[in-house]
Amino acid sequence: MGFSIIIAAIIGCIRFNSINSSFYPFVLVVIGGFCNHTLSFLLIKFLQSNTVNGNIYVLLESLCYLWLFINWKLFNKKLWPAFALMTVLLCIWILDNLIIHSLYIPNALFRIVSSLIIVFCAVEQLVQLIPKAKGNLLKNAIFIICSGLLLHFSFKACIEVFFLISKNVSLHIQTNIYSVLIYVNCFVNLLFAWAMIWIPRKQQYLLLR
Amino acid sequence: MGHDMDTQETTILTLALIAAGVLAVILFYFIFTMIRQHRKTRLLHYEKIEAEVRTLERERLRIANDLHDDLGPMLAAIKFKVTSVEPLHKDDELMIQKVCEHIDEMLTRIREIAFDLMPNALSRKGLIPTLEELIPKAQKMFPLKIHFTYEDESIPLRSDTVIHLYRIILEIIHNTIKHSKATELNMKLSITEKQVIFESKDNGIGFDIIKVNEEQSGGLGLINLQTRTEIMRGEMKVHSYPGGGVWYYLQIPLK
Repeated sequence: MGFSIIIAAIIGCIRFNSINSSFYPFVLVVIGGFCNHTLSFLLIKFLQSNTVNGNIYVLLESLCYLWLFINWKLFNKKLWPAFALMTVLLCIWILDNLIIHSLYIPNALFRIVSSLIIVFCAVEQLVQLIPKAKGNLLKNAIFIICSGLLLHFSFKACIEVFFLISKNVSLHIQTNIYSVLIYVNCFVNLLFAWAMIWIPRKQQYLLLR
Repeated sequence: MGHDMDTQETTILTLALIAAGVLAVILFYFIFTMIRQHRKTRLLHYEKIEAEVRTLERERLRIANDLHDDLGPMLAAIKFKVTSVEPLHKDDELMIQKVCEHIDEMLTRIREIAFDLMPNALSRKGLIPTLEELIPKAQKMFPLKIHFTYEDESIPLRSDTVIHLYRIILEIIHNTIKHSKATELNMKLSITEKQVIFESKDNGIGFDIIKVNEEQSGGLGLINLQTRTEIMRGEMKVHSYPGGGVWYYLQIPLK
C-alpha cells in the first residue's frame, strides 16, 4: 500500500518542468517518499531493518514541508519563524536520534513534534486560504495537500504517542494499530496524486478571475 | 493470566480503533466544514461586489441623466434667452457672443461627461456601436492608433454584462494611454452563443509580470478589471514583459 505514492511521484516527474516553482518541495517530498519506500523495502528484505533511512527521511520530509509553507507565504514573507521552527526540529532530531536514543531504533519523539508542527502549519494555511481561494476547493492543490497533511500527520502523531506511552503491548497490537496509519497513508497518497494534477502551471501571466 | 492479557490487549486495540475512527470523523468534518464555509464566503463576496458595482453604475446613470436631461436643456434655455437680448452697443454684442461660446463649450463638456459616466448608446444600440463611437474620440484626443475588429453573432447580452464589458475595455484603453506609452492598440471582440472573448495587445513598454505576480501589487486598474471579471464569473489573463507591450485576454461564459 505504501507504494501507492508512485502515482503521485510519476505525475510529479512528468509535470515537474511545467509547474509553479513554489510546489517543488512537495514534488521532492513525494519523489523522496517513493525512493525511501523502495529503499526500505530492499533494506527490510536484505538487512531486516529500515530504521536508519526512516529516521533520516522524517527529518528531510519535515524540513521540505516547512520550505513548502514558506513558499506559500504562510509566515507572511517573514523567514525567521520558519527558520526558528527548522532549528527546533533539527535540535530535537539530534537530541532524539544521536543523544538520547540511537539512530538504529525508530524514535517517536521527533516524529511526534514534527507531526504536530506540520499539522499546525497545515491548519493555519487552510485558514489563510479559505477567504482568498477562488474556484472549486477540490481542485485547489494547496487545499488538497493541506488536507492530506492534516489527515496523515494527525494520525501519525496519535499513533507515535501511543507507541511512546505503551511500550509493553504485544507486536500483534502494534502491527494492528500501525495498519491504521498504512490505510490513512494510502488514502493520502491518492490525495497527493490528485493534488499533483491540480498544481498550477508556471505563470507567465496574471490571472484575474 | 494469558487470557487476561489477551482480553486487555483486545480492549486496547478496540479503544485505539475507536479513537482512530473518532479522529477520522473529526478531521473529515473539519475539511468539509472548510469547503462549505468557502462556498458561503465566495457567494457573499460575489453578492457584495455585485451590489457595490450595481450601486456605482446606478449612481453614474443618475448623474449622467441629470447632466444630460436637466443641466443640458437649462443651459440651452439660457443660451436662447441670451441670444434673444437686443444689444445696444457693439461691446454688448461681443459679450453676448462670448457668453454663447462659453455656453456651447459647457454643453459639449456636459455631453462628454455624461458619455463618460454612462453612454446613452450603450443601452440603446449595444456594446459594439458604443465602442465604435468611443474609439475615434480616444484617437482624436491621444496619440494612439486603435484597431478594433469584432465577430458578432447578434447574441443579445444582458445589460449588466454589456456595462461590465464596456468598463473593462475602457479601463484597458485608459491603462494603455496612461502607462504603456504605446502608439498602437489592437483589440478583438468575439461574441458567440457560449461566450464572449476579448483580446487586446499594445506595442508599449510593458511591465514585469513576474514581479507583479510575486508582489501581488496589481494597481487599482487591475483590481477593477478583476472585480468585473469575477462578477461575470469569467477569467482574465494579462501577459507582459518589459518592452513587450501588454496582452489582455478575457473570457466570459454566457451559459
